[in-house]
Amino acid sequence: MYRILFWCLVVTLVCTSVGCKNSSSKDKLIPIEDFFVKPEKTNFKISPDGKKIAYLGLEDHCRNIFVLDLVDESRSKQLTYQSDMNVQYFFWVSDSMLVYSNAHSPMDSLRIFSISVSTEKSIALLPTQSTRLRWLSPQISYGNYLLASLNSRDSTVFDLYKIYLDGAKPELVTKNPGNILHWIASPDGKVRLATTSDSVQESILYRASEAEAFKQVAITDYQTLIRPLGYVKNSLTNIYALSNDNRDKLALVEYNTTEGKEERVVYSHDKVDINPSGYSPYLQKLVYSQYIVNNKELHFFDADLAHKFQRLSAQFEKQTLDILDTDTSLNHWIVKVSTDVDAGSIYYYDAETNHITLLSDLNPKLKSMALQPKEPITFQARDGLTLQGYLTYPLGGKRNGLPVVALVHDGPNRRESMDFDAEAQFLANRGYLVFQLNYRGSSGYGKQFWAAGFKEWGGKIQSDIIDGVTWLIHQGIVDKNRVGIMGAGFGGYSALHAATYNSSFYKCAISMSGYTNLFTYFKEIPPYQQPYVRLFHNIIGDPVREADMFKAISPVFHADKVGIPVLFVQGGRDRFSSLTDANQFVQKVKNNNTPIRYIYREDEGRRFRSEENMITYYQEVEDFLAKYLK
Amino acid sequence: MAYNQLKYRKNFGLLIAFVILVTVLFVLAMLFARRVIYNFVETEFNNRKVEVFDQSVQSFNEFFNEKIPEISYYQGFLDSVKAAEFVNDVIRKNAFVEKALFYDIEVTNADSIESGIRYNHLLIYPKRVVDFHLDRENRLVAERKLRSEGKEYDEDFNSMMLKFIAFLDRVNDSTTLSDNDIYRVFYTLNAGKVSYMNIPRVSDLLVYKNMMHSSEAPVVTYEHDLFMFSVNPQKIQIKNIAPNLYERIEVLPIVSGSVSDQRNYWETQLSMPGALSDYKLQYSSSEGFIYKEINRRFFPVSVGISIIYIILILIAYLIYRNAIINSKLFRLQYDFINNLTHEFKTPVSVIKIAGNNIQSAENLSQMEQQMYGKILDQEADKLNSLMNKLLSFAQIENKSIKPNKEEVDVMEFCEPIFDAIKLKYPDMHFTYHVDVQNNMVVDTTLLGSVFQNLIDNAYKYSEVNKRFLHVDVQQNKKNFIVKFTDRGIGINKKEFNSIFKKFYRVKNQFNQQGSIGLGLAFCKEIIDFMGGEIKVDSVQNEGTTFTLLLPLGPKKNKE
Repeated sequence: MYRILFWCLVVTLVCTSVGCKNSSSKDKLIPIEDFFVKPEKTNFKISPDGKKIAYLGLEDHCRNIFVLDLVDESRSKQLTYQSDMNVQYFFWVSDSMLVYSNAHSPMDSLRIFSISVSTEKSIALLPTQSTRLRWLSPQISYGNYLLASLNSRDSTVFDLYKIYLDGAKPELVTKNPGNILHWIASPDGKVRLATTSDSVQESILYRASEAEAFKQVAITDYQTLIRPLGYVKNSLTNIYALSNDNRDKLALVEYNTTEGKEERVVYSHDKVDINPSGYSPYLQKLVYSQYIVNNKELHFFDADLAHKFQRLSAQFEKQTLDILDTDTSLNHWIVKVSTDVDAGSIYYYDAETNHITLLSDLNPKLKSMALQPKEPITFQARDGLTLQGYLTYPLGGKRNGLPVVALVHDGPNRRESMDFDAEAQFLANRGYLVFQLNYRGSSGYGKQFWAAGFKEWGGKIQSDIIDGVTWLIHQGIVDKNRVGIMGAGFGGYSALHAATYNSSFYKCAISMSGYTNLFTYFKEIPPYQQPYVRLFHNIIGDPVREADMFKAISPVFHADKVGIPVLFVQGGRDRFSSLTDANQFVQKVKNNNTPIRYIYREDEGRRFRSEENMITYYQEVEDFLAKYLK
Repeated sequence: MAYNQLKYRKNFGLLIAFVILVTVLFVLAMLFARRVIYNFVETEFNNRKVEVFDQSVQSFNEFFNEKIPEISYYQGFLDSVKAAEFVNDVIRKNAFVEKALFYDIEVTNADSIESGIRYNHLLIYPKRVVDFHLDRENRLVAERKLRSEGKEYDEDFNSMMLKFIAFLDRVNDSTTLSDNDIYRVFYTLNAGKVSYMNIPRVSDLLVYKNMMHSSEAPVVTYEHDLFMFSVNPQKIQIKNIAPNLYERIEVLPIVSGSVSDQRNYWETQLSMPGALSDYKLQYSSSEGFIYKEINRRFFPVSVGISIIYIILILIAYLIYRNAIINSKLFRLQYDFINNLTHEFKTPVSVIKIAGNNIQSAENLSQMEQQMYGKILDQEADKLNSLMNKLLSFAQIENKSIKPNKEEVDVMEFCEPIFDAIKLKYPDMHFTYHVDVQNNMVVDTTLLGSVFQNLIDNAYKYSEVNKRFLHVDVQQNKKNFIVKFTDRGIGINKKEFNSIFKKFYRVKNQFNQQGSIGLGLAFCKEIIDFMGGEIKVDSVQNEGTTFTLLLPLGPKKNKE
């Protein structure tokens, strides 16, 4: 009798242990470092003839250019050999020549080179100098020169230069009268179009030839954007542009630059802005348009291409495809394929043969892991505005009474979408529901939505986040006693704002380089950038005339009100917060006997870059949430 | 045999030495305790000044460490209206801030002609100087100061800016603002003045430096705020948290010496921090004040010591009393032996004489033979009864015998005794009255001897012509009450308690011999032994009443 019981017990034990093993392999905690892997190969760019792909790879701990020969694989090679400098960027200027820039550090002097793929000969296009250079878009060569603007004459204004590919002295084309922000090159290598901005007003300037002076053809206010994409084929007057002039969402239009007039709407979407991509400067043709409702979606203007794309996407069912680069024939593509649970991979696609080649996995370590899908939600804020957000449910499949982390995006002039988000995956893997919200002021939903966030940094934007979480609480998804808030930059500010003013709603707050003091934030906009200063007067407010409002919504003034535990992370090189403010804030909270964990890394900026610091940060996040939100 | 050696030895010298020692210790302890407390108070007087100091300058420290850095939060964006709000808050909360000067500073590389500090291309000048203070009606007054108004505004400004520019010169890409830099550059502490300029971000400093050295930098203007607070240390509110130690605490100029050289004042001082440094806190207390404090603290200690002292003295007294009682007891026992010897001696000597007489007589007549026989018989009886008495007393006292209890009718018990009394003392006027319903349960022999004893006493201690005795036997609900009332010499009230003690004898002429001081003690032992009680009541020269309370027995059978 007892023997039977004993065996029953043994069998049960074995079953449970096997069961545990099964579930643990499914719900496995993924090490922090696996989430935040930096891809080794980046910046894949295909040559205009579609025969080579260049990319940045790591060699000797530095980013160097590598070239992949698609025709003869044996001719693939490493192009640059640098062991103390990183290649910052590069682009193809012809089928056999690249232009690149390298630097020791982000604030390093300017160094621009051209390099021939076959001879590997590198020519300095400019003498090394501490000026800044902006390439004109599109980045293509016009015979033997490129167009760029340089601020070598006056650090605040960018003059138009021809940069010769043979290393000859750059030639000044047009002096900036002072207010021109962007120059737009015509297909013939001349510049007939420029935009100016004093940020409250933007205007479009046109000239028929380079000998003439610019004349203003259109003025828009600061909320309105007309963004040139490229010239209409065989025209020197009409351009394709993204415009929200006289409409709420950015639409793709054909625009007459001589008269400053919109000719026709090429493509628009009724919910979201159109993204600035899909124009091919080689063909002077609009190939497709891209927009994001939840995922990136493409609309093709070319039936043949649309067909090719269909054929490709059939191979990646239910995954998001993004065309990163094409050659001039539009037959050779570099495509990124990703989902919300997959960081994605870069493929080379040969549309002629319908052949796909894997170039690189963006995060190979997470490939085999079970990650949590994102789910879009829509709800209404207290004033009736419809807001969109995303939920990433935690590991384990539970769908009610969950602890939530409101992960607030930076910006506010940015948006969340359904794409892969390592931070959200990390939090979900650790057992928290991740709530990401496109609060008012986020970009992509049209100018009205964007402008709704003006002067609401400490107001309605914050209440949107609360409304979102409240909605989740009412749905029964979230446990109202376990609400945390976390973010970097503006998200960090939101966390600090929450800790300071809504201690009863949130349980804990994590701020990565959050703004403690909006006066300091405002200071970062240099006074000589008058355009931006005025724009920010509109977006945040005027620190002199509206000092009371600034004071009221700057956490450092009210640090004594902080009533919940705070994880406060600050990089020493973050220009939007000063160390003095941060120290004061932390000290005040400490004096109040509120637990605050202060992590300061002198060499880091707004977001931690060094892997070691980043891992430390997320480890702290994990411990902090485990302590205060579990 | 030396008489002395037989005496009980009472060594009072030892006791006196003990008392003296304890008293000396008591005095020493008191003196020492007072000394310790004096030193303690003295130390405290010197030490607690720090606490008073901390409490008093706390508001200044809060102002200095918390309120002033707040200026930096505004990052130079303060204008004179906002500055007025800020100053209003500061000046009303902190009485010691008398005046605040607000310099709205511009840092520019423009070629303006404003007077200020110019270093290479960098010009720093106060765009506006506003003086804030409270007027008599406690309103905040803002007065704009013009450039022409005296050098005093410039001086502070210039010295501060020179420091700032010197610092700018040292700034480079890798500069981080250490606390030390911040304190040295952005604060200036002079006597009575705290100046503070908002701390710019390091990137701003780099911009300034660039503006300073490069002529090509775009013309820009940055704003800064500089505040200069005039501080009056004498308006600092002193928080005397030890009012029993410090009679007076004042803020005095640091140079002011001791006002009086009188020795009867205790004084100590602490210099004030930072901007208040030309003043000090002066603490003083009169000696009388301090002594009051010392005494206040000394009181509980002295009470404690006194209690210990009193306990020790009490112990000494108890030892003394014990010695006295023992000595009395010793004397009583000594007397007892004396009496007993005497008591035994008489019959023994009579027997000896009778024996001698018989021996020496050549022949004894019938009469003589009978007489001697009778004498010998009587004296032997006497000795026997004496010894019985001693023996039974000892037995009863040691509880080595058991009462032989039996139920008897009270009358039956009393009558033989009373009849015998009448025969024994025919010259005594004896009456009795018995009124009981119950029988008694007693050891008749023992109770008989109690009766005998009390009757004998009544006879013995009465004048010849006053020999009366009345015995009254009654009962109440609980007890029999037996009263022996005589008209004898009576007993002094003081001796009521003593007469029942062993070997105690009342000293009077009736008591010269034949008593060993055991009779009443014996009676009491027996009555106690039987669960009863014996009491005495007497008036001297008028008579004595002994009352016996005895437990009731069962009801008499009424036939």
